[in-house]
Amino acid sequence: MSALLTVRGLSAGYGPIEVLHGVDLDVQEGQVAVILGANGAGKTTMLRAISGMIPRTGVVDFNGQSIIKTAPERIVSLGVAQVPQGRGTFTDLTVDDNMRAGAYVRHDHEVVSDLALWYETFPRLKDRRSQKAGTLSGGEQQMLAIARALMSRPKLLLCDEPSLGLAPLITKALFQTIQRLNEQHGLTVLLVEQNANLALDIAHHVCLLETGLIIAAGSPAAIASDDAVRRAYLGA
Amino acid sequence: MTSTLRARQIRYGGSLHWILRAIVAAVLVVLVWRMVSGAVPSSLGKYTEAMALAIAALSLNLLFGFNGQISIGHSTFAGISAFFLGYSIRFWDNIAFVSLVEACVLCFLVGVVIGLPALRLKGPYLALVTLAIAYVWPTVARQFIERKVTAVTGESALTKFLVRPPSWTGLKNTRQDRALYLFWVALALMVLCYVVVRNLRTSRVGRSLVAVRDNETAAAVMGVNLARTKVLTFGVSAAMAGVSGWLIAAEIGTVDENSFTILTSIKYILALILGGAATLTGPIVGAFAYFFADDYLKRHAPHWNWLPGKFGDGPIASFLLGVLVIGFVFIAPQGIVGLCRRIGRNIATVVPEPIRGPTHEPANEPNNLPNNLPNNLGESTS
Ligand SMILES: Nc1ncnc2c1ncn2[C@@H]1O[C@H](COP(=O)(O)OP(=O)(O)OP(=O)(O)O)[C@@H](O)[C@H]1O
Ligand SMILES: [Mg+2]
Repeated sequence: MSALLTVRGLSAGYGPIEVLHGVDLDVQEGQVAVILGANGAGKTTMLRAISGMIPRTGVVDFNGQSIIKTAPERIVSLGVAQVPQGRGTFTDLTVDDNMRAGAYVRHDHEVVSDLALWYETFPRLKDRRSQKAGTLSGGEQQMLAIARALMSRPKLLLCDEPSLGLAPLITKALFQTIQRLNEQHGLTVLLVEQNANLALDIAHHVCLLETGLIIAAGSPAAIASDDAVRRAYLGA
Repeated sequence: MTSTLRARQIRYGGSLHWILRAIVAAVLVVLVWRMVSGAVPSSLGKYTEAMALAIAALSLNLLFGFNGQISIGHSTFAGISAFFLGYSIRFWDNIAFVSLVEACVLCFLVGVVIGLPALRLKGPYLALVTLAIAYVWPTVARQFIERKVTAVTGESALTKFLVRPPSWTGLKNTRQDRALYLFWVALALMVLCYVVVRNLRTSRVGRSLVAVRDNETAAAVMGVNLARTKVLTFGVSAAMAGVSGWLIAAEIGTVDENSFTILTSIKYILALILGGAATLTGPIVGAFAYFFADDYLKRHAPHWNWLPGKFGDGPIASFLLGVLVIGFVFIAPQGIVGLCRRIGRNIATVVPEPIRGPTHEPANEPNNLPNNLPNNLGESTS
């Protein structure tokens, strides 16, 4: 097993404010890694630092290649896709055009067959192909955001709080979908969540992020048995 | 949604779709034929001006409708191009079409520079910057005329730059033939601009424009370069506004510092809003509706004696036009095209052609089909 993503001493922030204070993280190929953290811990900042959306320092290696100096659009074409927090569907574009927008960095001719593939995986989106994305429900929009990210043919999917604002049943279905993408399509996933219970179920590796620092990391079982973690994230 | 169920479904690219397209094309041909047949120069000129307005509205639609950047400064690009045409024909003996290309390049470059603040400013703040540019233009234009024109010829405006029909057209250098020639040039340019916007909109690049408008963060994580997209869109839109200015100058034959003011920009915006922003045909429909409503009111409103006495003295036509536009936008916020679409959807909808299956057959890998999503997905949150 090899690490698809290696992060060492990653620091990032906004202007003069540093939010991430040197975090380390390994995401093994073919696994689901979860970052747990409270509001404002820096989870979104961490994903944005990995995908190059904000200035960062430290080491970020993807697929054995340093991407610390790489432009965000290049990082996407290397195989890192991000589902932003709050979905970020293009409300005035149709579902179809949203999906095609996900393939923005691609120049090959297999976009249409990929489209068909993901419509098969997300049949509800297929039914709503020519509908404007803004008219979809929250759950459908989250599905669309994930499907759209898949259109760039990522090796690594960064997923920012997909459960945000969704009913428990929908969240469960969503996590099952992510798990299936991981198991059947070999997609490596780095998931950011506050919903620890469900996230721990599908995770192979878990990190705890608190005020810009990783305070614990390990297997889901080890993390779940930690008393402090149970109190803070599992409500037990 | 209920209306969609009742409405007849027309398959995109199907025979019914083609028949509808053919009918629309035929209607357009008849319309154009009626415009040119037996027309005098002044009415041809009106069509040309309406088409120039349509081109300006198309350019604004690209920028504002599809990319979400507001500009109240587009009259300036039209002005730059108009001055360029006038000056280069009069003083450099430039060929009209060469000056069109050069003016477009110039407008593109100026547009890129002016688009730079758009990287840091949004919405009303960007509107203010472009407003300032529209505000400064008349002064710049005045200075230019004084130094480059008045100093040489003594005239206080750029004049005497006729765009003559080339000999291969068989048209002569008469007022009638010049008007006819410009009409066809205007039509060709308008169709060209329409096709450019349309192809852009339905392409990969066009989707990225709308993506940037709808959600910058999401567009960026998709690999869209926000800065490049915004600045280039501003440049292309400015070049297109330049086409409009070139056409107006060629039609009117004289330009000065008052030809392209903030009011000109407002006219572009009104035409776009009236027709329907972010639609493909809206700018053209809106421009014609605006132009001919304006023309009608200007000719007739001053004679309407049922209007309260005091109104008759002021610029009554502009007042009524303003009221009309506000009233209409209140009824149809999506413009004329949006309104037609809403009505049309109850009669028939165009459904997309089916997606061709993936390379692998679903039946071969039944386990690969995650179709056990709960059926209430979505309903409970909507
Ligand atoms: N654009 C920004 N400019 C300045 N500060 C920011 C910006 N975005 C986030 N921050 C700050 O960075 C810190 C971490 O924010 P971040 O969005 O990474 O938190 P998070 O862990 O994703 O929280 P949540 O669960 O609420 O999404 C917060 O204190 C926040 O105020
Ligand atoms: Mg966040």
